[in-house]
Amino acid sequence: MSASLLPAELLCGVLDCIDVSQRLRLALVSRAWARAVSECRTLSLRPTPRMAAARLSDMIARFPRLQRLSLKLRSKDEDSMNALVLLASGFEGHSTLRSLEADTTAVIDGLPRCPQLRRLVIREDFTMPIPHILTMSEDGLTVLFVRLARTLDVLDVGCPLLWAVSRFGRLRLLRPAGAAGLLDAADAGDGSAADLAGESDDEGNDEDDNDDDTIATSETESIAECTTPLTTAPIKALAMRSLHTATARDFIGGWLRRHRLPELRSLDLLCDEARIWPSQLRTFSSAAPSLERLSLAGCQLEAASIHELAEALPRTLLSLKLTSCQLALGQAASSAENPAREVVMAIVASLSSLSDLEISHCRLHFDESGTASAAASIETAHMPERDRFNPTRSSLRRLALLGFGRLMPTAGFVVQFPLHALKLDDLSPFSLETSADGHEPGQFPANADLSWGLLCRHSPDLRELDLRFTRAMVSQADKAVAQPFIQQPQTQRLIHLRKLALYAPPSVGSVHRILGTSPLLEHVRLSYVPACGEDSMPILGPVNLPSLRTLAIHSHGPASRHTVQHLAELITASAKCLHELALNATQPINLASGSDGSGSDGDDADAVVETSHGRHDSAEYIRQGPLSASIAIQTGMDPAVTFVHPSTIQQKACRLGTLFLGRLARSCPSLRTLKLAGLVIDASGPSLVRLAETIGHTETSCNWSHTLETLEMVVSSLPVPGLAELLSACLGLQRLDLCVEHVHTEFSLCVRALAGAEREPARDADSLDARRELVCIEHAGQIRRHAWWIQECRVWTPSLRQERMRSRLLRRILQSRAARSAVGIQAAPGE
Amino acid sequence: MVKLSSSDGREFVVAKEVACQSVLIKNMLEDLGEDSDAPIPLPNVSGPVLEKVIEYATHHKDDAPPPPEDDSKNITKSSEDIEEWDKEFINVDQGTLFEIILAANYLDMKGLLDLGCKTVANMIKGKTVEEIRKTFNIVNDFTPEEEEQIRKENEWCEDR
Repeated sequence: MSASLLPAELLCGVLDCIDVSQRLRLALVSRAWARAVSECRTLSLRPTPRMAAARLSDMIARFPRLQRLSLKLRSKDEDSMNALVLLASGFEGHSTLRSLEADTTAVIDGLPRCPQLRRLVIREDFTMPIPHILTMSEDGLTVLFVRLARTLDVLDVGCPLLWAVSRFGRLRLLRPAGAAGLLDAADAGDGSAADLAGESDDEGNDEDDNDDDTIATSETESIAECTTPLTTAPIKALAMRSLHTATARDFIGGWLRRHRLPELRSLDLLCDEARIWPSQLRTFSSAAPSLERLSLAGCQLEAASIHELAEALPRTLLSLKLTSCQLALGQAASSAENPAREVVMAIVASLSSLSDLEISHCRLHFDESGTASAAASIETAHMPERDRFNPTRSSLRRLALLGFGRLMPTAGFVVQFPLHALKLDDLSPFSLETSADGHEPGQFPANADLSWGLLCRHSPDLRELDLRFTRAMVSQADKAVAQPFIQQPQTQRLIHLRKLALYAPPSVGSVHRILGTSPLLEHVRLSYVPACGEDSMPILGPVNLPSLRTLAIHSHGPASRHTVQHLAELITASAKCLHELALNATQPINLASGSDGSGSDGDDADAVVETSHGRHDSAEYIRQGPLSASIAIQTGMDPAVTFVHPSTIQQKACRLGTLFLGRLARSCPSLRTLKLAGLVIDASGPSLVRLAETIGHTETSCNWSHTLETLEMVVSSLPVPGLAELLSACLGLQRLDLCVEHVHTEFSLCVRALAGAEREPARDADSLDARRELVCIEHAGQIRRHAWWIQECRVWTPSLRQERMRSRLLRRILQSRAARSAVGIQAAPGE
Repeated sequence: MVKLSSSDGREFVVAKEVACQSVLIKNMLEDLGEDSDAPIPLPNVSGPVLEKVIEYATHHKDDAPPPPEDDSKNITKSSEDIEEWDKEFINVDQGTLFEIILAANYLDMKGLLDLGCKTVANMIKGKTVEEIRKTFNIVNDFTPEEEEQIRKENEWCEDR
C-alpha cells in the first residue's frame, strides 16, 4: 500500500501540516498530489518583491477550498511593505474564505466578495504605505463596520490611518429590520451631533475631571432619550487598536452605542493615551449584555475613584485586564497603606463573577485634596457592601499585579483569594527563603508580606506561578549564596504547580527546592539565576520533572555559564518530554582584555590564542580530564556522578561542556527547539561531531533528526567540525541561527568548510567588521546549499566596533563611579 | 461493554467510553440503543489495525473532548505537537501507518487521524520530490509539459 492510495482528503490533512513553501513544491510529485495541494485550506504568505509581481487573485484561485489566508509583512523594511501592499491590492475576494489576517488595509476592497468570511484581523502600522486608501471603491470603515459587521464573528482592527480618514459617527448604518435602507447617522438623533460638540468641550476642559464627567453623563442621557432603532450585529469578539481620545469617543459613541451586540463576549480596546469616562464604560454593558472579557490598555480612566470605576464596569465580566492605564484612587483609597490592595479589593468586590484579573503597569492617581466631594459619597455608599465582601469566597482564580512598585508595599493579601494562577513583581528576594509564618488558615493581617510559607499554606491549588524579584545587589546575592540553605518542611510545597517562572530568584538552592517539590511542572522559566562559581555552588541532586515541556534558564555574571549548564543538567536528566530548551549565560564585558585600542590584527591574534585555550577547556566540566570523560561514556556511567568540587573558579573554563549536548540528546529525545546563548561550542572540540553521531545512531532513542526544528548556537570559530554532519542528520530543521565568536578573516579555511568550495573570501572590504560579515554571509550561503530544507538560516558575528564602544563606555562609567566613591565614604572592597 | 467485530471476523470487547472515542461507533450505539448485545461490524477495519486503534483509544480515554473547530487557532497545523506515547504508538511500518489513518478516518477519530497525518508529514519534510516518490512508491504520471506548467505556477513562492 502506498500514499497514492490514500484518498485525496487524507493527503490534504497531511499537507495541512506542512509549511506552504514546501507544500506547493509537492504538487510536482504526481497528479493526485497536485490535486491534493490545490485542495488545501490554509495559505500563509509573506510577500517578497518578486512575489508581489504576481496577481494574488490568480494565486488563490488555485485553491478553490481555501478557508484561511494570512498576508503578513516579511520584515519591517520598505521593500517588504510595498510588496505586501501591492500584492494585497490585488485581492478580489474568495468564495470559501473564512478567516483572513492581513498587515495592510489594502485587502479591504476585496472583502465584500468574501461571503463566508467570519474572522478578520487587520493590523496596519501607521508607517505602512496606503496608496489604496484613495482609490478604494468604498470607504474602509463602512466596509468593516457596516457591511462586514453583519456577518463577522471576530473582528480585530488596528488601522490608525483608517481612523484618521473617516469617522464612526458619520457611518450610515443598515436598518435592523433587514431592509436595504440605510440609516443616516444624522437622522439617528442628536446623539452623534451632541457627541461631536461634547468632544470639543472636553478638549478645552482637560484639567477638570469632574466637569468632563458631567458633560459625558449628560451626553448619555441625551442619547438614551432619542429612541433610535439599534442595529444588531452577531459579532463575538471585537478588538480595536491604536485609538486615541477622539477616535475612542467616536467609536464608543458613534458605533458601539448605536448597536446591540448580544453575542459579544470579548472586547479589547488598545488605546494611545485615550481618555475614557465611566459613562462610556457603562455603554459597554448596555451594548454588550453578555460581555465576559474586557481588556483596556493605554487608557486614562476618568473615574473619580477606584470604586466609581469598579461600579461602571460591566457586571458580567469574567476577565478584566488593565494595562498601562491611569486610575484615580479616590479619597479613601489614597490614604490607605496599600493602594494596590485597595484597587484589587474594590474591583473584585464589585464584579462578583470575575475570575481573572490582571493589572499591569498602571499609574495610580492619588487624591490629595482631602475635601469632601461627590466621589467620597459614592465610596461611603458602597462601604457596607465592601465589608460583607469575603475574598476567600470570591470567584477570582487568576491574578496578575505588575508594576505597582512602592504602591504595593506588601503582597501577602493575594493569598486570600482561592487562586490558581498568580503573577507578581517587585518582590523582596528574601520572601522565598522565609518559611516562618504564624497565622492560621483564614486569618492574616491585612499587611502580611508574601512568603513562600504563606503561599503554600493558603494557595495550595496554585497551578501557575510567576514571581519577579527585585534584583539583589552583588553583596546581598553573595550573602544569600553563602548562607546555609534553610531547610523547609516538605509540607511547604505547591504540588499542583504546572507552570513556574522566577525572575531573579534569591538563590540556586531555593530554585532547586521548588523544582524538587513540584513534580507536575510542565513549563519552567528561570531568569537572572544568581551565578555561582563551582566552589560556591551548593551540591544538588538531579530533579525529577517527567512532564517538563519547556525549560529556559538565564543567568548573568562571570560564573553564569557554570550555573546555567549545571542547573540544565540537573533538570533535563529525567525530562523525557522536553520540547524546548533555551539556555542563556550572559557575560559582563571583559574589561581586563586589551582589545580596546589594539589594532584589527590584534583581535584576530586574540582569537587564535583563545581557541588554543579552548583545547584545554574542552573537558573542563569533568575535572579528571578528557581521558576519564571518554571512559565515563564507554562504561555508560553518568559523568555527572563523577563530578567533583574543584577549589578554584577557572575564568576561562566557561565553554559548553563537550558531553553536554550528547547527554542532552539522550535524556531529551524529542527536543524541538534548542537555543544556546553565551555557552560557546568549542570549534576545536568534538561537541558537534559527537552530537551528530548520537542523532544519526539508530540505536539511541534520540529523535532529533525529525523533531529538532529550531537551533540557535554559538561557536568559537569557523569551521566547526561536525556541523555539516549535524545538519545532514537534522531533516526537520527549519531555523538555524549560528553565532560565531571569532571569525578568522585572514584564513579562507572557514569558507571552504562545508561544501568544499575553493572560492577566496572577498578581500576588498575595508573594515574588519565588514570582512567578518562577508565571511558569515558566505558561510550562510553554503549552509543553505548544503541543507536546503532549512527555511531561515543566519550566520553572524558580534560587531567588534560595537563591543569596543560598549567596553569603552562601561570603563568610563566605572572610573567615574570609583572616583565618586573615593571622594565619599570608604567604598566596600567589592565595588 | 461493547463488542466490535473486525473485517476478518475477530471480536473485541471494549469499555463503552473507549469505543465512543470513535464518533462512528458512538452514533451507531445511539441508534442501536443501550441494551443491544450484537457486535458492531466494522467491515473496513482489519483485526490487527483495530487492535492498534483500541490501544490508542484506551490510552486516550481520559482526554478532554477535542475543542470545536476554532478559526482562531494557528493558521498552519503544526506537525510538532506529538506526545511521547503517541510517537511510540505510531512508530509502525508504512503499510500499517496508512491503514491506521484510513481506519481513523472511517471511524471518525480526530485525534488519531491528526496523529497519523502529522507522522506522514514528518516523513515528507526535508525530502526532494524524487525522494518522496521513492518513499511512497508513487509513479510520476505527469507529462513534461504539465510538470513545466506546475513549476511555472510555483515560481512566485520559490524565492527566498
